[in-house]
Amino acid sequence: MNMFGREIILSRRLAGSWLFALMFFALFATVCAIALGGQRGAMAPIANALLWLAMILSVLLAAGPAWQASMPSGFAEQLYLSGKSFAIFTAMKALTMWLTVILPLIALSYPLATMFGLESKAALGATLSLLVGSPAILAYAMVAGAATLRLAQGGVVIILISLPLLVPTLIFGLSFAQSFEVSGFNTDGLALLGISCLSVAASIPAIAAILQVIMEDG
Amino acid sequence: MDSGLDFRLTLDNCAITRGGRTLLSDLSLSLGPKDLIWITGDNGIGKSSILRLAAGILRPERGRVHYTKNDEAVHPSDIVALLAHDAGLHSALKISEELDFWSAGSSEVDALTDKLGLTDLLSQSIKTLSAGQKRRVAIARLIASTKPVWLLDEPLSALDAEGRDTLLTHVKMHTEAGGAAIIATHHVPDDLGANASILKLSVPA
Repeated sequence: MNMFGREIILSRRLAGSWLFALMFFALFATVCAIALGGQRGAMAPIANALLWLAMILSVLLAAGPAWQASMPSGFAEQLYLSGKSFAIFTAMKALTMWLTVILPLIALSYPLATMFGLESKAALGATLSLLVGSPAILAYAMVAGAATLRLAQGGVVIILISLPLLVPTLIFGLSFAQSFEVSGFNTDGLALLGISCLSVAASIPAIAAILQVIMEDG
Repeated sequence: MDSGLDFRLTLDNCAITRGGRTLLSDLSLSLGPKDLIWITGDNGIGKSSILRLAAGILRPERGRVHYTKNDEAVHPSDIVALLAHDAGLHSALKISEELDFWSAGSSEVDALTDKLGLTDLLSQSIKTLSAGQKRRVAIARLIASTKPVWLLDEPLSALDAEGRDTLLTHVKMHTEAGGAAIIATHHVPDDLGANASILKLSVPA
C-alpha cells in the first residue's frame, strides 16, 4: 500500500473531516440565506462573497482534524526511518484532502450559487473561481494545521494564522468570480491560478520542514 | 538482512540537551556487525534520547552521529530501524494494512505474523488490540524492515513471556547473522550472550 492509498483509506474510515466540512458549508449557506430573508435580489450581489467565505471557513475547520487523523504519535519517526519523504507524504495528504474535502464543496457550490439567485453563467464563474482558488486555501490551511499539530487549541490558531494570509486569494477569487460572466477566463483567473500554484509549491516544503521539527522535538 | 553487509553507526562525543538541561555529554559509541549493547539506567536518565540520537531523529547539541554502509556514508534510514514507545500505528487501520504500508515487498511478513501470533488478527483494526499485540505488530515491522541496526526502546514491556522469548530469539538471530542492536531497558537479562555489552547510565555524583 502506498501513501495515497493509506490516506484514502483513512479518509473513508474517518468520515469526520470531509463530512463535517460539507455539512458546515451547506449550513453556513443556508443560515446566510435565512439571515438575508431569502430574497434572491438581496442575495445575488453577495453570493460570490458568501460562497468564498463558506469555502474558506469549511476548509480551515477541516484542516486540523485531518492532520490529527493521519499522524498518530511516533508516525513521523517511522516515516523518516522508512526512507519515505515528508514532502511526498504532505503532497499525498494535500491531494487526498483536495479530493475528499474540497471537491464535494465545489460540487455543492454550483447549486448553492443558483439558490442564491445567480444566473447559470455567473454560478459557473463562482464555481470555477472556487475550483481555481481552492489549492491556495488548502495550502494555507495545511501549513497552519501542521504548525498547530501538537497544540491542544489548534483549531482557533489555524484560523488566526491562515485568514490574513488568504486575503489576496480572496480578493483575486472574488474579482474573477464577478468578472467571469462578462469576460470569461480573464487575467484575474490567471492571477488566481498563479496564487494557487505558488501557494502549493511553497507550502509543501514548508510543511515537510515543520514535520521534521515536530519529529525532532518528540 | 544481507549477512555479508558491513556497516557502522558511530556517535562521536555527543551531547544531548532537553529543555535547556544537559542530559548527556561526551557520549561516544560505535556499533558494527554482531554488536549488541544494552543501555540501562533510571527513568528519565536519557535512554530513549540515546536511541533517538542514534536513529538520527534527535540532533546532538554537540558532536556528531554518522552512518556508513560498505564504507560509504549513508542516511540513517538506510541502516536503522527503531522500535519506539509510540509505534505510530493508526488506530483506524487493520494490522494487514499497516504491515503492507510499512513493509510492502518484504517476503518475511507472512512468516513473521505467524511467529508473533498475529495471523488470526490480521483483519482487526489496531484500536481493538491490546498494548502487547500492538507491540508485536511494531516488532513485525522492525524485523521485516531488514535493516542491520535495530534500536529497541523498552522492547520487553507489554509483552508476555512467550512474546519476550520470541523477540529475544530474533535479536540473537539478528546479531548472529551480522546485524547489531541497541536495547534500552530497566531490566537486563542475566544471559546476555557473546558480543553483548552493557552501558549503565547514572547521574554524576
